[in-house]
Amino acid sequence: MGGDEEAAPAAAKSNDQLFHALYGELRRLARSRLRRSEGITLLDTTALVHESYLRLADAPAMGVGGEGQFLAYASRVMRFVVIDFVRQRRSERRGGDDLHITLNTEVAESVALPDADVLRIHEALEELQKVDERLARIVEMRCFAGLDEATIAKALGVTDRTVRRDWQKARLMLRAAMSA
Amino acid sequence: MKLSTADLDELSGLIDQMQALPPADRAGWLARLDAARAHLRPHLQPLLDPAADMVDTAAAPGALIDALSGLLPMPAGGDDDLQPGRLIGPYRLLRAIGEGGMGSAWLAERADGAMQRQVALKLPHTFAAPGRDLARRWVRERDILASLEHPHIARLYDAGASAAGRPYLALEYVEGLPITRHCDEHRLSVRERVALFRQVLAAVQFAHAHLVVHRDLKPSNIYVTADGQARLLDFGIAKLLQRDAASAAEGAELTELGIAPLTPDYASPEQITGQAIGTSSDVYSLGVVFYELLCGRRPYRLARSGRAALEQAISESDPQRPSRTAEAAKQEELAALRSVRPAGLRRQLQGDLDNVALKALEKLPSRRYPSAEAFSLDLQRWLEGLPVQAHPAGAAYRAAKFVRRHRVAVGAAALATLSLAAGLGGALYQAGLAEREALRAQAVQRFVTGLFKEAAPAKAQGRDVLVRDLMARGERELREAAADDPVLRADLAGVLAGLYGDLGDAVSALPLAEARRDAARSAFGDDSLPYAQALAALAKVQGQLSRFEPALQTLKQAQRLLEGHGSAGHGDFVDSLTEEAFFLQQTNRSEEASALLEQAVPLLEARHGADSWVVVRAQVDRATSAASHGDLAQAQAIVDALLPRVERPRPELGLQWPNTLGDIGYVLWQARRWAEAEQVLERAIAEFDRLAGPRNSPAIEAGRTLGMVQLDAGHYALAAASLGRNTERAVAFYGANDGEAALNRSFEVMALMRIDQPARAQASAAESVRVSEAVGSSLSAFDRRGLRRRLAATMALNGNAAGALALADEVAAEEVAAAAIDTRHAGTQLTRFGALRALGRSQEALQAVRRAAEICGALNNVPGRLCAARARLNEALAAIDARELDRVPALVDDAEQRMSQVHGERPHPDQQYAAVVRAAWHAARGEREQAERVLAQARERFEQLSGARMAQKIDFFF
Repeated sequence: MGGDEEAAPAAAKSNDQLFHALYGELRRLARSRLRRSEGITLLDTTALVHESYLRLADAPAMGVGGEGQFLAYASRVMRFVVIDFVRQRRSERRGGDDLHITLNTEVAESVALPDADVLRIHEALEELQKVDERLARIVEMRCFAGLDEATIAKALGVTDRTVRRDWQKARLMLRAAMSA
Repeated sequence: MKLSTADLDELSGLIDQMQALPPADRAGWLARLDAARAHLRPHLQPLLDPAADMVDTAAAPGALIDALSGLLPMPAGGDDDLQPGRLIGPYRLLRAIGEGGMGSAWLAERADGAMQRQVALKLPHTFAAPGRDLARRWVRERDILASLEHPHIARLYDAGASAAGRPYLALEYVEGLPITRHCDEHRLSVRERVALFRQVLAAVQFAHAHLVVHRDLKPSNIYVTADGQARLLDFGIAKLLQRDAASAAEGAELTELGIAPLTPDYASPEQITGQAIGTSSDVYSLGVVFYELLCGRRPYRLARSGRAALEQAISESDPQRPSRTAEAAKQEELAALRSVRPAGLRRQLQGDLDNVALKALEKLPSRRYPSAEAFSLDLQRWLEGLPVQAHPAGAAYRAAKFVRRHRVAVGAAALATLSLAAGLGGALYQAGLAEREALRAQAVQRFVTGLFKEAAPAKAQGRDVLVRDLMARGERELREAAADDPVLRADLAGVLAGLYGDLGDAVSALPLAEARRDAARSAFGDDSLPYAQALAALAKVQGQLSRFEPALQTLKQAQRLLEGHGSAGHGDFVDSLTEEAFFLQQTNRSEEASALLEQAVPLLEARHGADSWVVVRAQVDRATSAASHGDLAQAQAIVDALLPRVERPRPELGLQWPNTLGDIGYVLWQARRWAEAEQVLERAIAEFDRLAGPRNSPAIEAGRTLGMVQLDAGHYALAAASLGRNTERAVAFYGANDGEAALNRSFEVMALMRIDQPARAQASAAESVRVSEAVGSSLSAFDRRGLRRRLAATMALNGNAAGALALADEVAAEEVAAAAIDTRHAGTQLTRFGALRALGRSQEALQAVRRAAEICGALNNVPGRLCAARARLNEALAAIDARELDRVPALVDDAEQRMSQVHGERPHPDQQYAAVVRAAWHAARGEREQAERVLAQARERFEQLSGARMAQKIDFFF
């Protein structure tokens, strides 16, 4: 165990240029946003995703068309950013008290859930993806990018109602996948 | 049983079918599900809930916590399965120790033996309630507790969830008794009770300072250990005010869940009537506990029993004075438990303690002690025999109470609160302050995040929209949206200024910090705490812009106001000391800075803890201060102790970490530890750039220090390159016509002068002076003299002796007028020497160089020694001119000796200047061959060491 996750993000298997650009950007944005200044700690994954769009929208060879697809994709990447932060934190925590509370660590701090739960959700999402890709996308967009229903609907080209129904279904499926 | 992928596939189809059915038909459909798929039935059950179709539509976007925690499954079954021996996460349950409104508490121990200690494990009751809300509550409680580290608050050790998804909290297990029982069993006197109670007040004050209101303070939540230490337990219903405000709807949810384990006996009137709860509600509950500690009973004698009667009494009737209550039936026993006779007890309580208890129990929050601390201070006065501040209520107050009673009776409680707040103004403002601040913080956060969302790509018109552009848009909105609300304007301006500050863009932060100051003054008044805080923030920005004199003035003004606010301003005051020290140091008053920091470190440790980053910061400042007034031993001792603590990247600290590296780099520079200094500074610059992009001022500061390290190390080629790059960055950041850009450019001159680039050196120096004269006062007189001193030297180097002399004379005169007689003035004299020598005015030249030698010879430090060595070499040149050749070797030897004292084992290119003088001496003696050989060797060696060629023509050493 060590800081090896830094070098090998969870989704390193993807050679996609966009993924790497986005991953780096989101990670950097998240870190710089999450500093403990005397003001408010701005922690808003939604803003991060939007901001990454604004920053990367002009990059050539983006390989995705339109904001909607981008948001779906960025949500996906955000998920890996969060998961990597959590994993990294877990790997940094050696021996002794296996406390689930780390008050001083980066993005993972924003996820006020035990690390183990975050990873469980991540794994269940992988399961869900095998069964229904769109459901997994919706969960990513809602949970990791914090997008609202209307935005998700627009991005996926479906109605709000469909998103609502899918979200309900996704939750049921995830809970089922996580049930022991 | 774990579901397979096939099961999930099956489930997916079933959910589709069931979602398509009208809700009324779903139960029947589910019941008819065939046996092969019966095991999936529990997973479909939630669709029967009529609310299921509407879930989460209102969830705030971006709320990662909510969304994720909503996904966690809840285990089947209630608490029946909790029994001794059962494992929850890494803990084994030992025995039940309590039941509360929202969960049970168990004594437990680590099952894996990782830890010997026993813990109190808190477990939520059942999972009947929607998982998301409970999980969120749990998460919240964990966060609250984790942020509260205090000797009188039970510690949180761990929090998590078992494999089955059951959340748990592992808390410090406190062996002891509730405070009331402890006092009685130990027969504590009234004095002892008061002293013990002050521990409780300190803990509550600490929690309040962290925006945590307990809301359920009662003796069973206040334990006392056998050694007499109070411990506050169970922040079970405490809510972080900040988060509370985030979801107004949530209050309703909590009530629905039945998680309102209010103990009416200790509840405040505002809790009873369902109004906004602030810190003063806790003060009230503490008042009840205190009352009970004094006289053995709670404040209200009820004519009839029942919760309703009690609630009415709490909100309407006046409590009896504790001394009267003590005259109850069992007064002998009551007094005996307090180790006195009944008459003695009555005497002790009568008057001051009666008044203190009743003040805490006032109906109106604004009439109570404003804080637990104020309560505690009054008790301290009592302990010291001084008169207390609490006094009986007057007629005006009774009238107010009458009004309020009637309003509540009308039932328009919420309206009443509003109009009352308007009427009572400032007093009630205090009571709701924390919540208002939380609300405003939310508004500000929404505002800022809104900026990012609103920046639709279409509006960006294909341009690269950066955070900065968004913030500029924010500023426009600030002017429009918050135009008529100075409070909001102050907050928004403060946030935007803070964000710019974080981005290292103090130029943009300044007008916002000024706007915040103005708004705070108009909203709160010019002796208010918010105004003082706005001034302190402004001072910080001014400091970031290197405007240290105005920054100091602003900060002094802030400090005077903060001191006037006593304990409320104390924290900010303590924090401002480090800022003040920094400014003092930057204005060359490092000894004052050091003294100030020595005084501040213990205060900071008391406020933030010895291991906190703030203390690291203060120590770094002490080190830089010590270094800049020459106490290198102390500076290095502090830095060596700090190095391991800053080794690991600290991304959560943002720019603070690289800032600290930069300062440590400065100390290492002063300590002449070149390689370490370069390494640390390069790390700092990389981190600044990573966090804030290439446009940021701290990287420029650090880059300048890096260049100076290389300059002093004699790596002139590197120094010229670094300082040149830094000039470009400074120009890009501040603009070509800014004083800071000019200052950075003038440092580049120092490197260019030492390598064979005299023309470039002069051009840069002239440009820096031109800019600084044009912008006038943004650079200090000290800096402006430096710029002109360097220009004079380059003019002399380039053969413009008359111009160099005129400028150097001006600078020298100003230095004398400012009493700035140091190595810099010596440098000016050396330039005068060079110019006078070139003009053939050898007598005056000799005077100038002797003046320099005199100044530097008196200094027992590195710059002094190096400057004295240069003076000696110049004197040797003068001796050659005067054909006093026999004086030369001694002067050169002396110079060499001084230089090797400084450089030791590490050869420095400047040492070759001695050989240059020796060559001139040989030449003067007609030893041409030797002269050429010595000079050639010196040039070659200089180039090896510095990476660049020595200047072709050297007429004097600057």
